[in-house]
Amino acid sequence: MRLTDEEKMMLDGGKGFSVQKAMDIIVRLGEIYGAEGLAKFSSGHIDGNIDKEHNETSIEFLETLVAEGVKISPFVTLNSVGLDRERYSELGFSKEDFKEQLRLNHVFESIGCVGLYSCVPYFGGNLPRFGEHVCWSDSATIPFINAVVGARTSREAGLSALMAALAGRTPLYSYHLAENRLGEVLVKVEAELEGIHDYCVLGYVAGERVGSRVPVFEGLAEKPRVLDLLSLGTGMGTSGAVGMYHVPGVTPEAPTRDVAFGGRRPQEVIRITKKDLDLIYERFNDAPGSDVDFVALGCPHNSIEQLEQIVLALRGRKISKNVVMWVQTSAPIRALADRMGLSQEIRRSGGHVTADICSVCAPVKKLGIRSVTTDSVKQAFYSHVFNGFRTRLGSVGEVVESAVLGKWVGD
Amino acid sequence: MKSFSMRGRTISGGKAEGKALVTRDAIVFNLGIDAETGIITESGHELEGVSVSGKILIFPFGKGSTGGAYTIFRMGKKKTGPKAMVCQNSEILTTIGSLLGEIPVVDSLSEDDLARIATGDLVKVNADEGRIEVFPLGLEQGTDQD
Repeated sequence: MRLTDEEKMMLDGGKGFSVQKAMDIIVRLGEIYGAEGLAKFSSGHIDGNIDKEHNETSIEFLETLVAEGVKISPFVTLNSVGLDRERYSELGFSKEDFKEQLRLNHVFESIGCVGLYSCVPYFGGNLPRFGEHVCWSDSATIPFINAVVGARTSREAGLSALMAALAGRTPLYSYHLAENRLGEVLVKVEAELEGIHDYCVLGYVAGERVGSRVPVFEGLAEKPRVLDLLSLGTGMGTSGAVGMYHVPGVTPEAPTRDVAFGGRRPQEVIRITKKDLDLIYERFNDAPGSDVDFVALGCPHNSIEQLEQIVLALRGRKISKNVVMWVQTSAPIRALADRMGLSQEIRRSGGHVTADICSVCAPVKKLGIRSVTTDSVKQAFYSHVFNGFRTRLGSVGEVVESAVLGKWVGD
Repeated sequence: MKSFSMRGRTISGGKAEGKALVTRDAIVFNLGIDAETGIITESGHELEGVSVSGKILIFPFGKGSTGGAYTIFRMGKKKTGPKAMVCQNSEILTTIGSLLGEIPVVDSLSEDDLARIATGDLVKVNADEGRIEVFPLGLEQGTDQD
């Protein structure tokens, strides 16, 4: 791999231990994946979220790595975490519950990462331009940044994105290269999609079938909106390793289907029907009985528009006293929701408007909850695999209605 | 059945030998596996409830949340994870986690290559050279069917 003189100097320790260690890893990654060189980048996003328990090893490693006081040069935001640092006590937690999370936050903030703590960082000030080489982690943000924005990132892990931030360089492989961004599989959608919950489930089905290939979607009835595309990518990042996709006529690198495939024929044609979506809803509607006890809306974090929809769906009603409802968003969006009176409306109904936090990463077992009701298949999936909860999955309307009644009203 | 060897690509160097644990399902390392015990927790996974600890883990690739690298890293540091891993395609989370956690990994074996290995086979991994040697169950001395 070609390295510049400055990069060789960094690799030799000329910029200190942290940069040397990071550069060593970045160069090895570049060599493994056949990069011809490294790119300086200005926009990064780090998923610093590690397990909520027993983190000592990871935290010690990271503390040692940055001990000499290194500062990163790119603009880098941090992904959602297990803590709402302003409102943790009203959620039923104590500061003691977040000792490790706070230590970890400190490591990242001390090197200059921005404590945005959101899985929708593009709605909070981190938005690269079309064609820019960037370095992003988090399985849901990556397809968004590649496919919808048209910036170029590999599917980085939190740790590799951190190493890249320290080195200020990302290896040019995977989706950084034009040929790896071309469509490989044609996905024909033969189902009516009724909202972002359906887009997310469609993505989940597609991700299971395409694995790590680049799908091209046809048959989406209307031109999808940005939140629809965000949900589609979120679903694919959950069940597969998809970091790039195209919707001809909609996403910026696919004016036509032919351009999306770079003039080649699809390797495979996959049809996805209503029945395929129904099977996923069935799988994630496995909570026994109909009592709803914990509701999590906002995976990825709610946009301001989604908060308005939730308030509309609540229609000023109180949620059931047996239900705990988290409406998850980022700190800047919550500040705006406060100003608009949306947060107050949700609180009057008995719900919480949370910032930074994701219920999957938070110590929610402490709250004694038994099941998770959500409009996001990603939230449902990780509630299962990590927290062992049974789940209910439906539209935002069904979820809000169920929160009010304390009973599941979905199919 | 005779022993055989296969060649792949070095992802993370080192040598290890142990019993194979084989799955055809991709693995969600982030939250789909308990880093303290090495037990796979993803519901519906072929190996749900099975520990990867001390095994040579044979799997197609990692999937899902990119936070999974921390899990692999931590299993490596705490020695709760697999002794080595062999896969079709080591995507970034598997690679960075194993590099930093110092778990030997060889990738670029085909689905057919991996299908020749069965759970319980003795596998010797020389990741520095990208080579693995497989001794089918019953071939090596003192086999115990755990």
